[in-house]
Amino acid sequence: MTADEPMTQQERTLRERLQAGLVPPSTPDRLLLTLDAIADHAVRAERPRRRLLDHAPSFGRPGLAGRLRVGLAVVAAIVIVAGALTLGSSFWGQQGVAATPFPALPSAAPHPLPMINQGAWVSPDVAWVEASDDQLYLTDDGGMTWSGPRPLPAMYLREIGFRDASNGWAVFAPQQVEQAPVDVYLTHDGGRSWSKTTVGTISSAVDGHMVGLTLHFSDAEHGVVLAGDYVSLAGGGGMGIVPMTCLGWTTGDGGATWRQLTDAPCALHDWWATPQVGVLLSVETGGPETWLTTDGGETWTKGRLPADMTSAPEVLVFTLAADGTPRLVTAPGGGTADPITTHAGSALETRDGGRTWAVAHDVAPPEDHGAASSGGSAAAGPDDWLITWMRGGVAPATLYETQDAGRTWREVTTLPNGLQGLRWLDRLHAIGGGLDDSGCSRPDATPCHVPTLLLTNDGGETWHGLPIEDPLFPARPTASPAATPTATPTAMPFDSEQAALIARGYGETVPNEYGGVYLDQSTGHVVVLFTANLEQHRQAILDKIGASVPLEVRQAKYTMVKLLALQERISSDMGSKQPAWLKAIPAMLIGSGPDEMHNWLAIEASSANPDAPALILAHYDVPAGMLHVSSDGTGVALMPRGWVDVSVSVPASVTVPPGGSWDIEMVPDGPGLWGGGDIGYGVEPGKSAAVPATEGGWTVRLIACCDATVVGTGHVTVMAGGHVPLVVTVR
Amino acid sequence: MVVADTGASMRGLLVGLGDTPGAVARVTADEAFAALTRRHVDAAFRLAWAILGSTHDAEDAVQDAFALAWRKRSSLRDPDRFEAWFGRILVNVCRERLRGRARSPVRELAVPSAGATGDIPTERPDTAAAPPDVGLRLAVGVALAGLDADHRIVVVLRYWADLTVDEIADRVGVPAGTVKSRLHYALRALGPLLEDVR
Repeated sequence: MTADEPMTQQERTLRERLQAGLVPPSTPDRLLLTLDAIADHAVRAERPRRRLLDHAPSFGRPGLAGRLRVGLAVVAAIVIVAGALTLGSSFWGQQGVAATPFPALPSAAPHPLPMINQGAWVSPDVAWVEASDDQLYLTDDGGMTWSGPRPLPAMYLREIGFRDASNGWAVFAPQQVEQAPVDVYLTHDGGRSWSKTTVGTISSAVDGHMVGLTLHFSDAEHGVVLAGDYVSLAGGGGMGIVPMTCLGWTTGDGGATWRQLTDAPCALHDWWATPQVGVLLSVETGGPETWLTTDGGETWTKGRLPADMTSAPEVLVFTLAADGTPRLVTAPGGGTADPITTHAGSALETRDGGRTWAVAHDVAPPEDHGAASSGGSAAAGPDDWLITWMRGGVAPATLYETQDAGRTWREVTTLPNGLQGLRWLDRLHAIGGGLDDSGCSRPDATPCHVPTLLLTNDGGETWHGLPIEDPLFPARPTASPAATPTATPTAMPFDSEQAALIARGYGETVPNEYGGVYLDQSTGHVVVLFTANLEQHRQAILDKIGASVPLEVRQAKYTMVKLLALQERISSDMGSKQPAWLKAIPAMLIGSGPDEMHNWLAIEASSANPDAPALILAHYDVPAGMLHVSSDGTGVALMPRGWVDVSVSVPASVTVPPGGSWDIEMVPDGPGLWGGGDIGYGVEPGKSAAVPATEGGWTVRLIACCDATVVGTGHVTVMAGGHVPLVVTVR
Repeated sequence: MVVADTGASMRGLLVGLGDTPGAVARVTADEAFAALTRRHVDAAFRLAWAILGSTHDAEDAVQDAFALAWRKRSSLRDPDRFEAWFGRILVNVCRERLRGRARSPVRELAVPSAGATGDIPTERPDTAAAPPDVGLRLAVGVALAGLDADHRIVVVLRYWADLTVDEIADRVGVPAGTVKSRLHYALRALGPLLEDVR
């Protein structure tokens, strides 16, 4: 049966009935919005800036994996505000803390906090978050106000954890890299400076593999980092994600030195019932396995779940019964985020230190919404306490609490509209986020999804909302009429890029007030920034581009002229010119450019010094928020480099289609080398490609288009400043 | 505009339209990729819905697939192959969801007015009083629900999406012979269930 093979009568009947009986509904608007948001987020995250080197070095592949680490785990999390807040190390030390009322929050007040990727809430007042602009923010008043930003010391952040407002840890590792360094950074001054320790390396360069990383500190001195190389067997009939390599390191001196575990547990996820008692879950051949620790991760006991669980269950929470018995509240696996909200599950417990687990009792969802249910983050504590939320179909969601590990549930409250993610500090305090769409019913409400931070200090009975900035939905309308988006009731076709160019042309006629222009792809709006006279400029631009173009005018702090002047000032330090102060760090500036969306000048640096971003910022001594420095954390641009001049030899037996070419893949002999960059090189028959690479040995592979087959390999040793010719014969 | 060294052809879709600081008319490889994905949203949703039979699941699957596609986009070496490349990702995601559903079966509700929710009912209601098209939809939903993930996917790809066996083999990642045997089994399983339609 091929394309030319006719169908039998039975097949034709089946085809006819399937095509008549399977009539899909229209694509939901919210799906389109979400996908646009994914694309827009990624595009903005990777929008290239002007580079002064031939290619901006990068360690491994482009940084999307790092940028989207939350979103890729659960796609919806890309639009989940505050959805990935992790629990601080003192999470369980706060039981019974007296409730401190939150001050009334101005529900419509603009706030500088961007969308949150992850964070650590270390007390009812103090929380740290890593936001979507790759910077850290701190609150010491329970979320009412936030200070920062403070730049991260490197790229590829995986987890952060803070003990208090000053002391914290962060672990970094790139994805899909041979021998990727696992770096733990420590700060003792609230993120102003960092020290780095490379605890080891992990490799996940094979396509489809990924690095899992876990960081946990049980107290100020004792911590554990677990790293694994995982592969999805989704296409091969396997049971999902299984570990290939598992490594672990522990520290007893606050992270200054690390010791490798001899028998590291494998797991993608960790759950902690107390700072000392935690559990990991993974899938090995033969069924799911667990590791239990009661000493903060120093030692682990391997165990198995009940034999009838042939696939990994979804673990909702890990808790301790009143007598201290470890309990896992689980539901059948299946890819949903929190299936307890839709399926009955089990509370498993171990009474032999984690070697075996048995069903203690069944757990039923608090409410049966069938397949229409969706659920959110849950939290648990000692004494069988568990809290979670679910909704049946559309918002709003309901918050439920149990005091007996899921046997019975109590409805706490109906949650604020648009809630997407929620994390609990203790039984009273929670922080969450979502998209408030309460204004979407208004015909002129674009954009109408307002990212909101949600706070409670009374166990979820009452909530306070704080609008926050979000790069997915930037430039929310403010109370100023000048910032109100202009949208026509009947959308007319328009060329938004042309409109943006016109707006820029106008802006450049008022250089003392013009701050930039960009296209907001999530809303389709042309967004123009000015430092003053917003309404006047809005009218002037509308006169030129017409009222049918959705236009937003935003308040800017810095004019484009000032940003470009700063760039000009910095340009003398860019690239290999490297003045003495940069050599002293050491660091190299590898790219710069105005970022209109954030209204700052962005610099990309290459440095292994974790303090490089802060030192560079301090050197230029510009007003707060005018300059943003990011570092690759590796200093790879500082390494001496040469070039491999790759050409191909095509035997007569090999037919090359017209215009055919091969991709070049550079594989280093050891860790820490850089070659090729993030653009990708190809080579055509009869031509040569000069591929930059650092000093060392390299295997060069030719990759066939489309099916990723390696059609030829060669090996060279690169010397700094030199060109090494290499002819690769195509097989 | 970023350019590759002499003699090299750049991989991907990088299209530089300007290098003026602050310029907005710049299409990067990622923006081009974004445009590519947007073009395929509707088709992806329809296929996911046909395989999964649920609007909610189809939405999730398409989101998952697009996020995976973003992560793996460097492996797309020829934009002209996007449809097949993304199709493989989407089918894999749908398959995982179906398999997960099989491990933890969800009792979907029989919907009296089929189609109103966009979901395919999986329990056979009394079709005597239902309009003919509703009866057919219900019967198809029930029939497909009786197949496991692998068989349901090949049936939908072959008879609903009109893919050839070779194309299905490419999407599913199994030999063409396996596709044929799955279709053969599925036909046997579906035949009696569709006999009494209407």
